[in-house]
Formats: sequence, C-alpha cells, structure tokens
Amino acid sequence: MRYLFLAAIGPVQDFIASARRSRDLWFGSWLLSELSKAAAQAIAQQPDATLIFPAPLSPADLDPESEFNVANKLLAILPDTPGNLPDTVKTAIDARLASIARDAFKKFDGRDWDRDRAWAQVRDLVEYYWAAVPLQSDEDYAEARARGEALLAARKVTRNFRPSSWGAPIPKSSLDGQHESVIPKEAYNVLNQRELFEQYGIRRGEQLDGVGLLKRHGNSKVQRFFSTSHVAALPLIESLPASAAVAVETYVQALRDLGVSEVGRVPGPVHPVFKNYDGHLLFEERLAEFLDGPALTDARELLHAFLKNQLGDRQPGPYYALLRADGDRMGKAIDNIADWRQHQRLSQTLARFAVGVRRTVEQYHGSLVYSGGDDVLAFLPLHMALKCAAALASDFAAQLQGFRTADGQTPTLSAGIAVTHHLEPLGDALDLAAKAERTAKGTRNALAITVSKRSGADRTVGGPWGSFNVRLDKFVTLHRLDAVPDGAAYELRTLARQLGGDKKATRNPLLAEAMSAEAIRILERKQPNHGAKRRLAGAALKTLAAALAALQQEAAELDRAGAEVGDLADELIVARLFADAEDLAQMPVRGLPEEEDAA
Amino acid sequence: MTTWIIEPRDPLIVRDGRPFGLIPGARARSLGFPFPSTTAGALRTRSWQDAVGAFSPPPGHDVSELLETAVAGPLLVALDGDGEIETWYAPVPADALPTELDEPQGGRLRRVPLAPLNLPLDCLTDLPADLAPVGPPEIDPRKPYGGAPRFWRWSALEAWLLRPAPDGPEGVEAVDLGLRGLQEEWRTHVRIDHDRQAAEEGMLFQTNGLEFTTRQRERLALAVVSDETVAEGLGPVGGEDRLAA
Repeated sequence: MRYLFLAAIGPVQDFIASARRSRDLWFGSWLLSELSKAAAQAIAQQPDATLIFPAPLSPADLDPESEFNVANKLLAILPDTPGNLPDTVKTAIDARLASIARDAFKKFDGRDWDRDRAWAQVRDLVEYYWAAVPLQSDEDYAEARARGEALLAARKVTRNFRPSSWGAPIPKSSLDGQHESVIPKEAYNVLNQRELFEQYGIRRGEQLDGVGLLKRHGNSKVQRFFSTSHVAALPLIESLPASAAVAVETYVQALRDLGVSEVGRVPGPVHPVFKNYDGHLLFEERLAEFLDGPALTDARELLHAFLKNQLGDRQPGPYYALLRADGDRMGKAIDNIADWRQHQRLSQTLARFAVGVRRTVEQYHGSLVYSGGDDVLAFLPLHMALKCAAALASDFAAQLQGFRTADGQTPTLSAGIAVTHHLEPLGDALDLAAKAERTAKGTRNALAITVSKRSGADRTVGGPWGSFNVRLDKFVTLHRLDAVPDGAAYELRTLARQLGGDKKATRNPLLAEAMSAEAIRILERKQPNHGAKRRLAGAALKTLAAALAALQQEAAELDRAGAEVGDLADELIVARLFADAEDLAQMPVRGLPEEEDAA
Repeated sequence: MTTWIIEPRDPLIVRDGRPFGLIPGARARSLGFPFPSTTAGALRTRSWQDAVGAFSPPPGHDVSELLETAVAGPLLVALDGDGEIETWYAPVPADALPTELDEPQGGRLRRVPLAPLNLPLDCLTDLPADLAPVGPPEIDPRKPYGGAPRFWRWSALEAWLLRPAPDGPEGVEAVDLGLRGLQEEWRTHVRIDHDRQAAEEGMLFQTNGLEFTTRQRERLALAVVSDETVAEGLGPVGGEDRLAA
C-alpha cells in the first residue's frame, strides 16, 4: 500500500527572525532551506518515491547550495510504509548541518572559544517531525492529505525534548537570549573593537552562542545580500557621476588607511562608480562602529569632503524598504486539488515563481533574503520598492491563474513593505514588515506600506493592487513635479483628526461628505494662480480629487466611510518619501497622464 | 498562607536572557509575564528589608534561609477601586485551540478542545510509542484565531476544566474570556550633555516594560501566596529597580 509522507523541519519563525544583521537574517533562511533540501533529496533518492512538495524543476535543484529554495514542509508519495526513510532523512539533515557548521567553525581553529558547547548547541538546533498515512488510491489523495496534515499538526503539539547539556550561569546570546555564549569573557577585555570583529565577527558587548556564530560565519563564500545601510544608500549611489570613480577609490583607500577593515563586498552586478563597496561607508554614524578618537574625526571629514565635492553635499537617505509577500488563498487552492499530479504542478509553478523572484528583485537593485513557495522576503531601495512589489504581484497572478479555489477564485499575492531607518534593529523592521503584510492580507490582493520614521508614530497605508499602487505612483509624480501644495497633506491630516477622529469612527455619510468638500477646498486654496504652475496645479487638483473619490468608494466598501480624507493625507505623506528617493537617484520625472492635464 | 498583591507602579521589566549593558543602543526586552523566580525573589528580598529599604538579614540568620521561603505564583489579577482583588486570571489552558468562526468575525473565536489521540489505523508518526499526538477530535479546517486571550478569567478556566467542549458555531467573545496580555511600553533613555543640551553620543539605551493597566483603565497586579510576612509599601521588582507596591 502506498503512503503519503509529510515532514516539517524547524525551527522557523523565531530562528530566522533572531537576527541583528542582515546576514544573520539571510543565513537563517538559507540554512533552513538547505536542511529542507537535504531532506527532500533523501526522499527523492528513494526508489519509486514521488516528491509533491517541493517539486524541483530538475534533480540538480536539490543539490547543496543550489539556487532553489525549499520550504520547511515536505510532502511525498512512497510506494510502501516509510520503513527506514524517516531516519535516512534525519541523517541527511544532520549531515548537511554538520557540514555547514564545520565550514563555519574552521575559522576559529586555534582561537579561544567554547567549541564543545557550540557544537552541542548546533546539534540540538533542528526540529524534525513526520507523519505518514495510507494512500489507498489516487482518488483518495485529497482526503489522505487532509488526514496527514491533521496528524502532523497533532504530532507537533506534543513537544518532546531532552534537557540541554550545556546550561551554565554565563551570558546568553544577544540574538535570542536563550543559549549560553561561547565567546570567552576575557576576549572582551583583551581585544579592541576591530579585533573582536575580525576574530569573532561581533561588536563590543555582543554575545553569540554556537548557533549565532554559525549564522554569522556560515557559508562565508557566498554573500547574497547587503547591509541595511547599503540598501538605504542605493538611491544616492546610483546618482554618482562617472567622474566620481577616482574620488570613490581615494575615499575608500583613505578609510582603509585609517583602519576601516569592512569596506564591504556587495554581491550582484558591480556598480560602475561605487564598485562593490558597501554603502555603509557613506553614513557618518556607521563609521563610528569601526573607528574612534582622532581616526573617527578624520574619517568624518573625509566623508564630508567626498559628499560635498562629488554630490554637491547631498546626503544618503537613511530609509530602506523591507518587503514581505505571501500568496492569498493558497491553502484553499491546494484543498481544491484532488489529484496529486495537479498538486505537483502547483509546486512546480511556485518553484518557477520563486526563481523569477530572484531575477525581479535583482532587476530592481534589491537583495533577496528568501523566496520559496509563495513567500518572499527582500531588501529594496526606496526608489525601486513600489515597482518591484507590483512586478512580483503581477508575475504571481499570471503564473497561478491556472489554479482555483472551490469557489472559483485564483491565488493572488499580497505584500507588505516596511520603510524603516537603516539603524533600526532588524527585528523591529521584520515585525513592521510582518504587520504590513497582515494588513495587506486583510484585504487580499493588496499592498500595504508601514513607514516608521524616527520622529512620530508609524503610518500605514494600503489598498488593492491596481488602484492603491497606481494612485501612490501618481502622488510620487506630483511630489516630484512639486505640484502638491506645501503642508496640504498635514492640513488634511488635521482635518481628518478634528472631524473624523479614529479612522473607524466616522460612519455618518453627511459628515463624510462635508469632510471631502473641505478637503477639496484646502487643496484648491493652496494652488498657485498663474502661469505654467497653474496648469500643473489644475492637473494636480484633478488627480487629487479623483484619488479622493476612489478612496471614498474603497472606504465605503470596507465600511470605513469617512476615512478617505485621512487616508489621502497619509498616502501623500508616504508618497513623499518615495519621491525623495527617486529625486536622490535622479530618476527621470514622469509627466502626469494626458487625460488629467488641464487645458 | 497570605495572598500578597504586587502592583507595579512603573512598567515592569522582566528581561529575557539577552545581555544588557553599557553598550550604545542596548535594549532591555521584557518577557510577556514574570517568571515565578522574579516575584519570589522580590518577596524574599522585601521580607528582609528594613524600614529604609536596605536589605538587612536579621542577626543570626543567613541569606540561604531565604531560599527556603515558599512562594506560590504569580497569577495576574485585576483590582477594584479599593485595591482588592476583583478578578483572578490564569494562563490560557494549552488544550484550548482558538479558531476563527466559519464566517470570521472580529472579536469572536471558537474554542476546540485538544486531547490525546489514538493513532488512526496504519498511520505513523515519529513520536515515541509511549507518547500520543494531541489534537481536536475531528479535522478542523478553520484557521487559528490570531490574538486570542492569553490570560483567562478564572470563571472561564473553571468552566473549561470541568467541561472542555467545543464552542457552538457562534463562538465566544474574546473579551469575555480574558485578556490578550499585558501592554508593552518602550522607553528610550539618553544622557544629555549639559553644555550642548543635546544627547551625548552613544549614551542611549532602550527598555521595554509591562504595563499593568488596560485601555479600559483596569488596574492589574500580580498575586503571590506565601507564609512570609513583608512590610507593605513601595519596593523594586524586576529589572532597573522599577517600583511596585
């Protein structure tokens, strides 16, 4: 009798999210994918076993370090009872983990660290659960899968674990506070900041356990991301003139001479002017991590001179975008699949989408952290983030259009973008991106953006693809054309607060109508009265009025009548950030659509 | 045995294990609820504090004796206007799975009891033979309810313990069950350069504490039970010498 074999590998969310640097984040995702890949390969190598999820496009996809990302849940059809297969899978997972750890820990040979404790922690890292249910016939597939999923979920509720062997009253890891540090106390007293970084990859005061060291140093030959500072600096970097190339080299060499060792090895295409140096070199506050005293003062002066001479004193913007995307209705689409071959086709479609995501993110100058199944996590520069998100959503919808839920709907992609300061803890940025994604998934087939500036409260805007992102794009254009009256957005915000209160509070249609009329009056009042500016002002007013009307309709559909004025204000404020990034990158300015040009 | 009420006046910091020291940008992050060791330590310390708050072992006694003091708790409680316990809360039972309703409605959830299951015929898992999977009696396609209360009113817990049964299709109001959790407050601390009247570079850290009030202005506190006698009044509990009464 055939069996359906289901396996889950973890830990997942907390493990990936416990990251202080973008590298830690990337490595957590990568490691989990590598271990899942090893498990999938062990299954695929069993005679007559059929992988359903993942469904690699070729056998080489399951080779170590392939570009193929594998999610942490596996599903396969076996020709008979699992027998020794589960143990074979576990052995493959452990072997892959040991191989990655050995490679990472090689650099500590001869150094002072707690090797035994580190290895004990790493060996205890993986959670591996499995369940297997009989598959009587192909027609039984949907029901068997449901039984298998329920059984696996029930198995995971019973958390059996052994006590740890490495507990001690010593500092815990700075990443998650759970496991004991493996870096000796003396290191912090004896080594200076640069030596701590060179020998252990840590900053002063940072403690790492074995898993933390693995995250920091694993797979060091592959760097598939850049620092958050680099992502924030990208709009400015892309505006560097060709004539600045020599000045860039001079500046970087001067920093090296002062003692900055981490000038960066940014992956991807080499920038013609900035080469592959990390953009963190353009932030004064980042220089303080590498230097102090007179060297730091000198480095700051060098930076000021470089920016003034090459960029007319323009400064890098401090904000970047972190995008999280997830498919909508995927579970229902899968539940609607009765045939395992169709499920395999869905898996392969998702695999193709995931491969395309990497290309798309790189096309928009971003750095992909993870793309597997219908999940995406990527760093994006602000001037490209909106376009990239829209491209991903469009690609997903196109690829998944052949699959339906029971009520005939197709899966779509919802995305959340967190716009956050490059120095904010990465964990906070991840939480914000997750929150934005949840907001988008509340509507489905939508984009939500949460902006967290260091001054003021977080601001979230969002709406369906095709209306919200198009509207935001228009607002970005208006800002770049200097066609949005100064202060208008904040006056609208004040109006919304005074008359509408909380976004959910206003339900009175008359009051909502009054607010909209007052909003138009505010916008009209601030328009210039003469010349070319008047023509642009007329077009801008038309665009804003149309946007308000569209928001009114959306708000009414979501039972939020009256919220449109506040939403318009927030969208204008958020659009300003993206407009500033496009200006910094010196992107060409688009005109307004012809039908909105005033005569 | 006496029930003692510990009502934090400041947001309570019960740090997770992450190091927190004199590093620019350091953060002290709190767990969601204090461990028993936190309140036990606070009560034991207070029992040997003198009138001015100094820790002062009585003559002829050793600090190690304090470790013998039994302290039960803490449990979360809500206080009335007189500072007396009005409502007891308990941690959500692990066998109550919160799910959405068939037609999801904000604020309402359906509880499904989990129980040890016999493995269906010919099914296999990696569990050892003496452990059973734990799940609902039937396959439930509903999504888990996000943001379910983590602290149940005692009456709700009692009813569940006596008769753990699935809720009807209309579910229950989450607020009737209890509280989602304690609100968290972040504070950013800086040191000001008196000459420049601006923040000193690098002199920055953040703390995350637990607020013991609700948006409905309910007073919350921690209740512990012990034979030990302590003086009423203000004293530090948890990290950063935050005060509680």
